[in-house]
Amino acid sequence: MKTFTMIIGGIQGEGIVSAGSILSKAFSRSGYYTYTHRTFASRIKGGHTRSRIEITPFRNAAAGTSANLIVAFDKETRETTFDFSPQSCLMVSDERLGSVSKRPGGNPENISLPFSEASAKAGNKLAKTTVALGFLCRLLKLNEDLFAELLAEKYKKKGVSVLQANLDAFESGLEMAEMPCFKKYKNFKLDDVPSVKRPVMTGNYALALGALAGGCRFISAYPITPASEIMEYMSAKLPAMGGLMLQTEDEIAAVTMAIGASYGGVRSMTSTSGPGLSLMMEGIGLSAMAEIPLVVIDSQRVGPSTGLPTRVEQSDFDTALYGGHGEYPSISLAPYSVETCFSLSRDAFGLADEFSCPVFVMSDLALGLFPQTVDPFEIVTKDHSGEATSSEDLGEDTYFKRYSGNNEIRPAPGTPGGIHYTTGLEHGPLGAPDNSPENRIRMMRRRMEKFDSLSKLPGITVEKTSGPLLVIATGSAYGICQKALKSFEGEAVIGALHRLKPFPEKQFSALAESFDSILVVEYNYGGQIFELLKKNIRLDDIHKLHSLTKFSGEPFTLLEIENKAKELI
Amino acid sequence: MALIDVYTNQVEQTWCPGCGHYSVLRALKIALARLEIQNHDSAIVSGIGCSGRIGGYTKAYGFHGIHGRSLPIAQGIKLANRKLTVIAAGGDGDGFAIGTGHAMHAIKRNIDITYLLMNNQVYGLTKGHTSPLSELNFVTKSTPLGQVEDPLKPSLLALSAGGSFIAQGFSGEQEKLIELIMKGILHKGFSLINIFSPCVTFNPGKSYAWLRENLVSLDESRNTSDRGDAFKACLETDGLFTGLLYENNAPDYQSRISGENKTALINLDIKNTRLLDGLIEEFM
Repeated sequence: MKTFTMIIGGIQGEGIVSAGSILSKAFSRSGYYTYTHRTFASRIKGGHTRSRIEITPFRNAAAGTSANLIVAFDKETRETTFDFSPQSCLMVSDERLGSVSKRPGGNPENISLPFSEASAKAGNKLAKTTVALGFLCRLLKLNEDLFAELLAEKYKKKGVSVLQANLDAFESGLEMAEMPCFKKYKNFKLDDVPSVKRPVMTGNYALALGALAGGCRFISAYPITPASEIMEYMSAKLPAMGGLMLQTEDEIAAVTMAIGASYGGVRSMTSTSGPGLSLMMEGIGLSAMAEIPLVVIDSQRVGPSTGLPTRVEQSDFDTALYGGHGEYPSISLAPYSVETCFSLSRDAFGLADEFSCPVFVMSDLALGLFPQTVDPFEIVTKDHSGEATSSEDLGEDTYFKRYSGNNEIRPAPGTPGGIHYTTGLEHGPLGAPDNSPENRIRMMRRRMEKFDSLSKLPGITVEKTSGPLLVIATGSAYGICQKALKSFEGEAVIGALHRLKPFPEKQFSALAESFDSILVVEYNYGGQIFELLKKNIRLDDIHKLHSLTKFSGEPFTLLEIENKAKELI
Repeated sequence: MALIDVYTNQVEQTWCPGCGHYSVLRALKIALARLEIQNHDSAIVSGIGCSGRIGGYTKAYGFHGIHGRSLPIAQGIKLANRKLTVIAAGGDGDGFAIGTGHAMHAIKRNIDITYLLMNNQVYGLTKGHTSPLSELNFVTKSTPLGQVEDPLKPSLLALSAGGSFIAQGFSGEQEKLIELIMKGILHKGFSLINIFSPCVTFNPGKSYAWLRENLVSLDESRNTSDRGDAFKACLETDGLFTGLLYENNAPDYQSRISGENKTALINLDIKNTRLLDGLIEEFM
């Protein structure tokens, strides 16, 4: 089989996520690619959770539509996966769950296995998902040693007895797959692939790695789903690099402390999700007004207010583009893959330094949280331009003209000769408040008109520059579009919009002219990217723009995108 | 050069004649000069309000931030470069209305900065509104029938939040204020100095004369490391005192994180990519 999809579901806190993670690592160590779609509730224990793992011989960044195998540890897994489960699908349930309720059109075969019982026998009631791992390993003819290795990595630190119980549980699972009823599933074997080890990564970890590669050595942040992994990872890695993560009292402190550290001469950032971004707007305005570099990573979730904290949406673009009071300069980047989470997060720090302004990196929940196998990317750091501390050309004993002409030098406190004033008030060359109309005009122009060079750089990654249909997407919407459009054989071209501001006007105009139709696919109600493109398209081409939005909190299905694309070709 | 001139700049000062803040500014400049801290090694961070101007009137790196947020900004600066002398300054609205959360956590976090609370018990820059430190029955534009809430007591709050240095000063007692600010700067940890600084325009009831009459000077021989006694002193004086209330030697934040990291964040070599070696492999 080329593509194999399995779902493992149960009650949150019972090892479902760990089992999913071991599975995706096992495949990724054997040369396959995986994509895991996770469903989870906003609670710690209890509530349904499931991992839907798609295994392919090629790179895959989105979930497909059906499943081959379902492993159920709760009733909800069986009932809510009906949509995914064709008749050919095999369902195995923990024996405790009893029989399956009938559905119209017939059930997939359901076989009950004593996962819980076997786990108790192995001496650890918590190891029932490990029994299932054993079962899956034998059923799919995978390498047992690989699993033993992964189990050891996971359970060694919990003590010898815990590890032994898990190894025993695994063993009993192996035997279950030998039962005669599974003989007819011997086609459940993945096509051979060259044995290569690849990392399993999420966007959040790639964003954090990118920040480290971009020279970020300070992050102040407040925990929030689905962005917390960024601060967690950096808090684990920064100390060894001499840096620091500080968990603040709120998002307002997070953003202003990062501004303080950046003013102090360190590449600094904060990370958050929508509710935190709303709180950060006043600080972001200060960063722009006082021309202090700042990187803000936003992992978008369903809003407004608390919204749906564990579901995906891309509805903060407008906040990044137009949020906050007054008019101010900022840059908005949008990663569209795990790889670009890394590269754009890395580049954000150089851009913030070069343009002395806030830089948003707009990711989203699905890109941030769903693990996928990636090709190992090299952690290359870019040349760091425009560093914050410099004592060149700074005269002694006078105030430094920090905001004069094209001056982008930012002497940090401690720099002799660099003394200047910094304020959120409108100010003159030395930073001192100045409310004269002439100064206001000069300073507004200084801040607002500094992006000429950047706006000329491409902001859309596209493989072909003309054709019947261009589909534009970013964030996690890109992966599913890419997958859906494979069958269109170049009739539909996919474009990744990775810089929203400054908008790549020229590049987009040229694309709009040479494509017959443009479809914008995004996770929100109002079509925020659609509206952005509409603002930037020539009047003659405006009829070519079409919008496909989804705001249910669920990812697009392949069919939804295919159907819309067919309509337009 | 006279000591006062070391930190004096040419910026025109726009506080009202007779404002207590002139004396806070003078005390701060003299304290910094007496400690022989280089101008370029000090950063004065303020919020918004009359007090917010103080950084602009001092020849140092001045950061006039946003209302209520001087403390997180000041902490960020110190975390970037611990060799700096970082002073945060703000009014009673800035620190104990909009910025109360930050104040409590800055005290708890104990980063080595000095916070001057320029306390005039009124909102001056908005032209006379009640503050969280205003007295009961205080009549202002926003409390025409009199304030019906009791005031917060900053020193009591700071003691409860685990403050490592808490003092109170008065604009009218210059020498004492200078010494308190010097002590605060020398204290290795977060120092709060609540300074009674009269607003002669909008709070004439709390004039120099009234404060001189009502402020009690704490007995200098008392044990300032006794927290219980500090609470008692606060309660007995109803917060109307000057002097060092409490000090301890708890290690400051930066000393607690992985001991003493000698390299300031600002001096790290961010081009050293070897630090990133092996990170990808951890995901395999």
